[in-house]
Amino acid sequence: MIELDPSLINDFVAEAGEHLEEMEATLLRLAGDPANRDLLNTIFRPVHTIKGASQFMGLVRIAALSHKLEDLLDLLRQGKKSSSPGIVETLILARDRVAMLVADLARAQAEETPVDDLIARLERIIEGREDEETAQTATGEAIAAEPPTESPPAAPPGPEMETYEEEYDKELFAIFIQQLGENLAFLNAQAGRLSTAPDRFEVLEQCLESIKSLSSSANYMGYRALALLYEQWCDEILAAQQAVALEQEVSMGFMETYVGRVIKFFPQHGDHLLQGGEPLVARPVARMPAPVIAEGPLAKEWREDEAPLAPLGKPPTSTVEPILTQPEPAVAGQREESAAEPTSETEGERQKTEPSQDAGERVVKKSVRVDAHKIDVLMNQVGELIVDRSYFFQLFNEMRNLQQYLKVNAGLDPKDMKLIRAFTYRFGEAIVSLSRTSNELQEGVMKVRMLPIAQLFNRYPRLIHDLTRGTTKQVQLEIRGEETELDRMIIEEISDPLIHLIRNAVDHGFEAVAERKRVNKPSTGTLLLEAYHESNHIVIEITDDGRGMDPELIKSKALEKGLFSKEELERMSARELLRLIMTPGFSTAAEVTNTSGRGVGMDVVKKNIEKLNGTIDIESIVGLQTRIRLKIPLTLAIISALMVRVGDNLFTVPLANVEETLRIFAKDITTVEGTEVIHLRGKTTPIFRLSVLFDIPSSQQETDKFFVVIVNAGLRKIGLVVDELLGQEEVVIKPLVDYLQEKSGLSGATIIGDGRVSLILDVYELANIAMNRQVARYQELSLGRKKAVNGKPA
Amino acid sequence: MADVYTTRRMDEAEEKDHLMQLVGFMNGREMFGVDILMVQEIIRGAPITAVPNTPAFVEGVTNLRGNIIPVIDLRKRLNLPTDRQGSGKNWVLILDIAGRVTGFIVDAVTEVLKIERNAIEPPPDIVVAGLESQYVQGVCDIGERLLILLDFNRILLVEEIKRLKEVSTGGSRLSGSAR
Repeated sequence: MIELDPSLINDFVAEAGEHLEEMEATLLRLAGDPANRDLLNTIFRPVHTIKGASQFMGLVRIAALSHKLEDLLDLLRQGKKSSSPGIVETLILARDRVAMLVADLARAQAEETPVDDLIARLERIIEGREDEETAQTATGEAIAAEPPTESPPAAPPGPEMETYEEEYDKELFAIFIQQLGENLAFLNAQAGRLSTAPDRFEVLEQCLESIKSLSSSANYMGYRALALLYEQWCDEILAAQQAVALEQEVSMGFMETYVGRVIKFFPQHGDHLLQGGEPLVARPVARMPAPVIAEGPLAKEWREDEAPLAPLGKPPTSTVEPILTQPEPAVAGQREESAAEPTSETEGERQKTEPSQDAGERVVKKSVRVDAHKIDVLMNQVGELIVDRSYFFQLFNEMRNLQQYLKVNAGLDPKDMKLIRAFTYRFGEAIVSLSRTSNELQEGVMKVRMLPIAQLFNRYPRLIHDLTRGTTKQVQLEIRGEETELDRMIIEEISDPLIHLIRNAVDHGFEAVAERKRVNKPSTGTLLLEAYHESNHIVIEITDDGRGMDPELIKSKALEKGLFSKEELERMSARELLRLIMTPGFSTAAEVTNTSGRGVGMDVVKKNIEKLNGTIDIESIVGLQTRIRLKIPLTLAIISALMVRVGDNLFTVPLANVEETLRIFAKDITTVEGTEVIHLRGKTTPIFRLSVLFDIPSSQQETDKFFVVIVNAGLRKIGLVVDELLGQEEVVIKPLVDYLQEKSGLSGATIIGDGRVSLILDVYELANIAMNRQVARYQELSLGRKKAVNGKPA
Repeated sequence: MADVYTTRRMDEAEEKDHLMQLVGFMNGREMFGVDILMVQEIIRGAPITAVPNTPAFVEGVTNLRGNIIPVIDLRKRLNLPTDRQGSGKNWVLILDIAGRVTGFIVDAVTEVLKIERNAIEPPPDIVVAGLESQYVQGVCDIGERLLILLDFNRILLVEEIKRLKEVSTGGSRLSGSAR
């Protein structure tokens, strides 16, 4: 095997990842508009780049597959072949296969997933032999990978044979089938290798692993007969292993038989199952058509590529040679397009169509790949600068005080005073200038960390495609504001919550086509993903035009689950009721699927969003739509905060959590069950003295007036009593050492203008601590009462 | 200082093998030492921000050039009597203890000492200067007095601090309600 340079692999993986993403987005658009030439042209480019780079790297399988893919795309975009949904489906499969190979590379530094079956299929399409099959695929049926003659050589199923079809749980079944396909393809490939492999014992061991995982999923699905078969298979392998270990002759033919027998269980999916791999039976077919296509120059190229041991130094085609002179694969990949292609009729045409697009691409893609850590370090430095800037501001204020002092107390004459005043003025000017520059710098560095949310949104058409496939729902995704930018870290953090929300919408929000028709809605539902900026926040809205959420249903569900009392629920507004779906343990789904309905999910989504100092809002109109609105600060590193003072301590409250600030009087406070509460617009809000929570002396002189900061801690609002409100500031969040931060009600610290440290309050944790203490105190109280009662009779 | 332990006459190479450089500091009347390689820096009069709900020996956090580091009062940690008045211009030894940069408040930092490695003796069984011997790495006679080498890995036992913290936040009310 060719030794691959790991650093080159990493570059390749990163670059291929971007191209694959682009391909996926375009392919999905193409699925809706198969004949669109522009889209075909757009796909062609990343495929071409991947092909070039993989040839350069000596990645035989990716090169071969992308090469075939390129051939097919070329035919399509030249109109020599007409595109169809079936072909597009194959293109998607091929993209996925390349992605799998890239994943192999990232994980094991080598290509593992077999490709021959797909290459064979692409060839058949290129030759026009798959037309009859595409008709079949267009109906949404599983895609046949092999012609009918290629059925496995196992005995035909007996009459007593069980078969398994799609069942009660489509999603679960789909996952099962996918796993089955992957493993079978692997096993099939290994079966082919076994007779010649030098490390047969190892290979069998891997097969055993694979079968074990299959066996557990069969058990999970309740497929007893299948599980039994796996058991037998394992026994056979163990026997074979023993034979290998003893260096006895052993036939590996049983492997293929078992693969065949497993497939017999799934008549609907039979052929589909092996397309994840390299079917033994398909292998001769992959070579057989060679004489037919050998006439074309492309076919010649590919056959040479296919020779899996082609050494890196001896590239199979002239295409690669110019690339080898390029210093880096990343550069090579991009420039390769302008490199000389073998001249043929098709190649000539291709070059004609490309230059204009290339020019456009170069303008856009003037980018540098930078280690994210370097940017984080830079961001830290900028944070320091912001702190220094506020220090200068403070010095300026002191200078002004000093000026005042000199004027009043030192009795300087006006001439001297003028000097000082002039200096103070210039000092002020300098600070304003410093402030402007550092602001711009901060913004600039933040922008470096910002990425368009398209990166995230572009993954979702595929998600919808997969989620609705095989269901009676039709959903189209509409994306707005994908150019909106936000912090790289936040993009990663909100990826999972968004997936969950989309799944929820598809699973529970949208009605089936028939139901939609009955209520006079367009049969295809629309899921709108929209992103936009709102001051220092990004807002992401997920709107579906499905059945909406019924507050009454939520109410009865919450009551049934015993999450709230009837009285509590009666008092809640419709909005509050909707928020209940984010309570842990709450789920209104009638049926439980493997992705949703288990009552975990929305609360996790909420937690994740809150971790980012964001908020989540739900609006719903029964029968019409549901809109979920996420509001997240643009960056994690710098936040707006309210500075408060308690005694000698300065605390920082993230402004995202602050609802309002109040000044109240002692008479406004009532005590309910040991907790102080105030009535805020008709609602009882508990208030906690920060000095008590943190056990620090308060400097509160006037005992009848209090400052209260009302903070939003998820579902509840609490008031924090402080000595003084100091105003709003932009602060840089710094972590606290773990043993100080855990369970402390603090989420970090920040450095204020004079260099001192101010602790940042974690209002959620603080609310928890306060509530727990309240519960403990209440228990203590009732315990005391009980004791008193018990004590009396004695 | 006597030349018994500061043998400057030895040449450099030999010194490295036999000698250990220590930063000496005072707490009350006792003299302590810590390996100079652990000492990142020594600062004086840094403002310290108290962190609520922590064990008493955690003095708080301070800003060391943009990094926020915890500060521990060594005397309180070692249960030594504290008669220090105010925390005005305290000395803070910034140590790197297995990657955890932590500040320790001491009464005064005296000097850098060189002692011979084989002059260090294991901690005696008897209590030295009211110290639990688990925190003592060894002792060394430096002429007019005894120098105590502290084991800072034991002193900054994070698990212990976390446990102590639970007592100071959650535990106290539980024990209160149990009674």
